[in-house]
This record gives sequence, C-alpha cells and structure tokens, in this order.
Amino acid sequence: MLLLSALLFQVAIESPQEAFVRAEAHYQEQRFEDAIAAYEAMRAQLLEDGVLYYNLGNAYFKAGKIGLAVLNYERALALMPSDEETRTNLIFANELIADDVESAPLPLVIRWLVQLYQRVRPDTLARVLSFSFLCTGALLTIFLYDAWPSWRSVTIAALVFSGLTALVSGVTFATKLNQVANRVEAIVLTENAYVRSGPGEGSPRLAEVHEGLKVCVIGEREDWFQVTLANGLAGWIRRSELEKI
Amino acid sequence: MKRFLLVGLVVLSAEFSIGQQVTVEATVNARRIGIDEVLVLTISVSGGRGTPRFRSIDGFRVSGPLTSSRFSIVNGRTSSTSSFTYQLVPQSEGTFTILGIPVDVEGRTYETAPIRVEVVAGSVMPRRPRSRGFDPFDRQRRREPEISAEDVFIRADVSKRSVYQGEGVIVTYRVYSKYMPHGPEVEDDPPLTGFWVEEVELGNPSIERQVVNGQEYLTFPMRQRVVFPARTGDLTIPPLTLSMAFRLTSSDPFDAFFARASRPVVLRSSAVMLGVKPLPTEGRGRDFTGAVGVYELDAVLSHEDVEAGNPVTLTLALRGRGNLRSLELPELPDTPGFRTFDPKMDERLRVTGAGFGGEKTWEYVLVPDSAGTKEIGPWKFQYFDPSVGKYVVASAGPVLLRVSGDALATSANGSIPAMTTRGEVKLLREDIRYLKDAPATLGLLTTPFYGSFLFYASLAFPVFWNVGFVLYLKRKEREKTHSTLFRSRRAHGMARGRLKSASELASKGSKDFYEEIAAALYRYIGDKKSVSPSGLTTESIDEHLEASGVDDPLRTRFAAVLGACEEARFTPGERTSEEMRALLRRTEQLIVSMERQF
Repeated sequence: MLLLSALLFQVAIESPQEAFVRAEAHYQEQRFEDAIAAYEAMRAQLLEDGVLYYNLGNAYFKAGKIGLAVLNYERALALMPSDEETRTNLIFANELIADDVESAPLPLVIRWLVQLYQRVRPDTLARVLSFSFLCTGALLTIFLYDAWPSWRSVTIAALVFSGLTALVSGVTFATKLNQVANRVEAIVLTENAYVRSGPGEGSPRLAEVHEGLKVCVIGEREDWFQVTLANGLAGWIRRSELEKI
Repeated sequence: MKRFLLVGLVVLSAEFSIGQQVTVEATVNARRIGIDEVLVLTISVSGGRGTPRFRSIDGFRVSGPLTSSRFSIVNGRTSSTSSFTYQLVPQSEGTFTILGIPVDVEGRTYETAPIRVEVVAGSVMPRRPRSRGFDPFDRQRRREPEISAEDVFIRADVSKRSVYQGEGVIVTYRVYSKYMPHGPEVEDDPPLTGFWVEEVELGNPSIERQVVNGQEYLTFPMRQRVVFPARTGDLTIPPLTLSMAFRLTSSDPFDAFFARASRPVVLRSSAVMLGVKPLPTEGRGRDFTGAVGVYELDAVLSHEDVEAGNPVTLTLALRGRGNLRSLELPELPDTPGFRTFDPKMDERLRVTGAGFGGEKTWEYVLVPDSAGTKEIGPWKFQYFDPSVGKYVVASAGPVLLRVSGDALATSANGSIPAMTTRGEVKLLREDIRYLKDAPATLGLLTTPFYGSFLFYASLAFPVFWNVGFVLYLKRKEREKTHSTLFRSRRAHGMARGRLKSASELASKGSKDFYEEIAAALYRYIGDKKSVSPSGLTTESIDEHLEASGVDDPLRTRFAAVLGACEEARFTPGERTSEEMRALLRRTEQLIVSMERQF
C-alpha cells in the first residue's frame, strides 16, 4: 500500500520534462513499445504539442507501425508546419509505405506557393494579418486626412500593398484554421484497406491502399468515410481503417 | 402415364408381317366402352416407315403416342412394323366416329378406315383374365416358340419431351423380352444432329424382371445417353437398331427337342421428337455463359495465412448437373496487390442415369505483393435452372487471406527499417531524425496569438478608428460650412457697424476714419470669403473678388476706395470731414453693390 501510494506520488509529481526524459530513455534502449506508452500517456494529459507528436511518431516508426508514425508526424506538422525535422521524417516514412499514389504535377510557382502554405503556421499568419491590418488602418487615416498632399501617391501605393497583404494573409489564415478545425485528411492505419465505390461491403473494390497513405476525407456515412486519393480517385473506406489527422 | 403405358402395350399385337406390302391399319381395343374407361387406338404401319398425322378426335382427349417398331430379318426377308398407340379418354357419352387418319409412308399417303365407337355410362370392358396356372395342353403355351412383338421389344424412353435449349435429357433404350436374349448388339446408331451427346457407361447392366401388362419381362438397358439440344425447335432422336438371338425351349416337352433353335431378331426403337424451347431472355445477365442445370460455386484458398511474396492457390470449383463440359468460368475478378498466373483447369465429370454432372475446377496461383488482410472475390455465376424456369446466380467468396511478413518489419536492432517493396525493392540506409527535447512551454496552457485579445483588437481597432475618423471629418466639414455661411451673412451687418463708427470719426475729422474704413472693407471680404482679414492684401482681395464672379467695374470701384483709404492714411496732410463723408457714402454704395453681386 505504501509502495503503491509512493508510486502514485512519483507519477503525480513527474513533470512533463521528466516524463520526456523517461520516454527518451526507453527509446534509446530500443524499448519502443514502452516509449510509445509513455508518450501516449503524456498526450492524454497534456495539451496538443507538436514536439510530443513528433517524438511519438518516431517511436511508432521504430516500432514498425508506419501508419501511426505518419499520422503523428502529420499531426506534429499541423502544429509546427515549419519544422524541417518532422518534414524529413514524414517524407522518409512516406518512402516506406507501399502506395505510391502520383499526384498531378504542378507548375513550379504553384508548388512553391503550396510549400509555403504548408510550412506557415496559422499563428504567423494571424500576426501578419494583425500587423498589415493595423498598417492599412493607419494608411487609410493618412489618406483620408490628406496630411501630406505631395506624398499622396506614395500613401496610396502603401495602402494598396498593406491592404492586399491583409487580404491574402486573412484568407490563408481562415483556410488554414478551417482545415485544422475540420481535420479533412486521414491516414490509413490497417495494413491494407480497400477503396470501394460505395459505403458497403458489397460495393466493388476500386483500389487497394496500404498503411500510412494519406487520403482526403470529403464525406462520411455511418461506418464509412468518403475519401479522395492524391491521384484523384474517389471512393469509400471503412471508418475503422482510417484515422483523421 | 405409367398406367397408359401398361394399357398401351396390350395392343402391340401386330404380327411380324412378311414382305414389303405397305399396310396401314387402325384398331381399337373395343367398339363400345364405358365413359370411365380408356379407349386404346393403335395405328400399325407395316412395310415401311411412316408417321401418322394425328390431330384431335371429337369426343375424346388424346394422349400419346407410345411408339414401338420391330424390324426383323427372318430367313433373309426383312419386315418392319411400327405401332403408334394413343389413349383416348372419352369426354361424353354418345356415338363417335374416329375419322380416317392419314399416314405418310415413304412419300405416299395412306389412310386408315374410320371407326365408330359408342361411349356408354359406367364401365363395360371385361376384366383382363388372370394369368393361368400351368396347363400342358394350353394352346397358348404351345405357341410360345414363335417370337412375337409382344415377346420382345425395345423402348426409347426420354426423361422429358419438352426441354429448354441446353437442358440435359436422358435417353434410355431398354429391351423388354420374355426370354433371355443372347448377344444383343447395336446394328445401327445414326449420329444425332443438333445435340451435344454424353454417353452413359452402362458396364454390365443388371437384368431385372418387370411386369408389363400382367406379363413378366426381362428388361435391361441397352444404351443410355444424355443429350443436350444445341438448337431450338423440334429435334428428332433417330431410332436405334439392335439385333439379338433367342434360343427357345418350348415348355411343351414334345416340341422342346425340335424347337431348340437360335432365332435371330432385329429390333428397332421408334424415333423420339423433342420440343426444344429457347432460353427466356427475361432475367438473363450480361455474363450468362449458357449454363443450364443446377450448379453451385465454391472458392477455397490453400492457406489462409501466407507471407508476402509466397504463392497461394485459389481453387474455384463449379459443381452440379448440366452441360458442365462446355462451360467456362467468368474472368477472375481484379486482384489488386497480387501477381496472378493462368489457371489450371480440371474436370471430373460423371454421366449417370440421373443425368450429367460433376465438378470442374480452376486453380489460380496468386502471389501477394504486400502485407495485409486481402479480400478476393466474390464470384458470381449465372445459370438457368429449367426445373423452375428461371435464371439463378450461384456465388462464392469473397475469401480472406492474411498476408504477413510485413516489408516494414524492423531489423533486429530496430534502428534501420528493412527493405521494402514499393513497386521495386529499394534499399534504405538512412534513418529518421532523432527525438526532440521537451519544449519549455510543454504542458503550459499556451494561447495562440489568434486566440488573444491583441489579435482581435488589432482587427477591430483600425476599423473603429477609421470609421470614427471619417465621422469626425464629416462633422468638421459641416461645421466649417456652417461658420462660413454665418460669417458671410453677418458680413454686411458688421460692415455697417464699422461704417457707423467711421461716421463718428468723420464728424471728429480724425484720420483714424480711413483706417476704420479699410478695416471694414478688409473685414467684409474676410467674412465673405471665410478667411482671416489679416492675411489679405489688395492683390489677394482682387483675386478673391474675381474668383467670386464680381465684375470689373465693381472691382475697380473697390480698389479705388481702398486706394483712397491707403492714400489718405499714408500721405501727410489733413482731410476734411466733407471728404470723409464723401468716401463714407462711396463705401456704403460699394458695399450695397457688393451685396448684390456676392
């Protein structure tokens, strides 16, 4: 009894930092299942944290659970989109999954924009939006007051620039926030899953996908998710075979 | 049916006729029958092959015919007799005439004689005498060595007369004989056209005893086959010709010695017509391959667990009765994630008296590429079940296969993931990046910037500020307009006030009068134009006046008055009150004129 209470006490006073150290020790000793358990316990207690998801993803990866590794890397990236380590590991894990769904090739500029969009955090966008909106407000005031008539063209140019910045950052921010709120992407967690043409076992199988593949969830019905693949294929996958990011 | 058969056989009484004389004869078993009885009509054709063109008969319901033929060579001479036996069930009492029935024999038409039949109430036919006990003096027994059509005949039985295309029909040629025949052999077996034929292996058929029409026969099947009609319409199964011999021993001990001889007999079955119906189109699926019968489909995997890259055998079995031999299975459904090889087909077919059936199997070798629980199938196979006259679908599967040996299994030390298949095998010698340290903020409640007050304030503040600013500007503008109007309206009054004080100065003869006049004019223009009087010069006044649309003469007058004031103020020398009063009047007139034009 005394021992039990001592254990409880020990657990209770363990700070998140100490728990991290303990989990890392398991990881180093190749006891990945223990590391996973430790990180999952932290995840149950703590608020969402990108680093925690990243470490959990690593532990799953080492334990050979590629689907869960991808899922946690994706969750980590959602919280810290600019983190290159997470991105590197996610790409590495994606190399190992069985499916190689070719997405439609995009022009270079679009690809850059997409990469930029992926890497930017909603919080950063919010700051940009906030600053540019304040600037726009100030410039508008100057414009209205017509304080320096000789600098009017400069004022207008600055006003347009800051206004566009505010608009773009605002739209991007809203999209990003909406994406986070709706969690529209999901990862295949079972070794394989069939994409069917309808929500039911009787529907014909369109494709077989494997653990770790990311799909877009566009609808759901009872036990089924309606999904689209990167190559544009749309179908239904059993809900239990997926987990939303 | 069986009853009719038995009745019908009684009248197969035509003797073996000798020669090729064609005779056509119609006989009935009675001229007077009861309504509860059945009239048996027999049409015998001897001396050639013929078929009666039978329609309907007034007063009777007709069924049949039962056909029987004999073809015999006796002492080198051939004779043939065909009998067509119909059962006529009377429908009402009265006297009816069976009209002559036309029979086509080798191109010529013969006609039977009409027969009158009386149908009465009840039953009139005598009971058939029971078979008698042994009587050595009975003439009937003495005649036994002569082989009659009643003693031996062959019947061609078909399991069904009206069938669907592709439906199996069992045709049995059965010999009925009172005596033990020796060496029965098939003499003539014409090929069947329009049929797919499967012969039944009879082996050594057992000889049974069977009572037909109260007479005991030895009976055995001579040939049995399952035929599948390939065409629709009326198809004919041609007759089979058999030969056999009898060694007869008379029961009469006096005759026995002499009559002991081999008698060859040739028997010929009748031709059988089959009415073949086409398969209905209603309910026929696109993948229907022409299977008729009863089938079941089965799918079995050799293993339920297999490692990725190792083969597994999938066996599809089609079992049932019907035209199995000609059937092909629909394509193997798509099996993503598998490499497949051409199937190995095997058939185990049996032809029995019950029909044609067995099992046809297809073995597929499948090699799974990746791990996981794979689902293969289901398979569907549509066939036509003639017993219910409908299309039925047999289905099998889907079968589940657990594929292990995950390509992602980590190696023993857990540091480097093993090779994986991703289209092709790929070696990966790199590892993931190491763990991160716990961030300082871990576990702390961190509000994102976009959730903070500052964020919302930064969005709201510029809006409020600018709206407020615009409102402020508007108000100021309005106030400005207001004061301008006020001053403009007041300008005349103010000027008059000043001119009044100037008038007092004029009566004193003070030079301040000119200053007052100039100030009044400056003030007047300043009020009218809402500008500060101190900033005005003579030039700027002129500009203001021009801008306000004051005409040239008035502007000149204005300038002249101002000029006079300036001159008086800045040049030495006294001015008289008169002069001052004159200038005052000019000024008053000037302002009145200005009021009209401003």
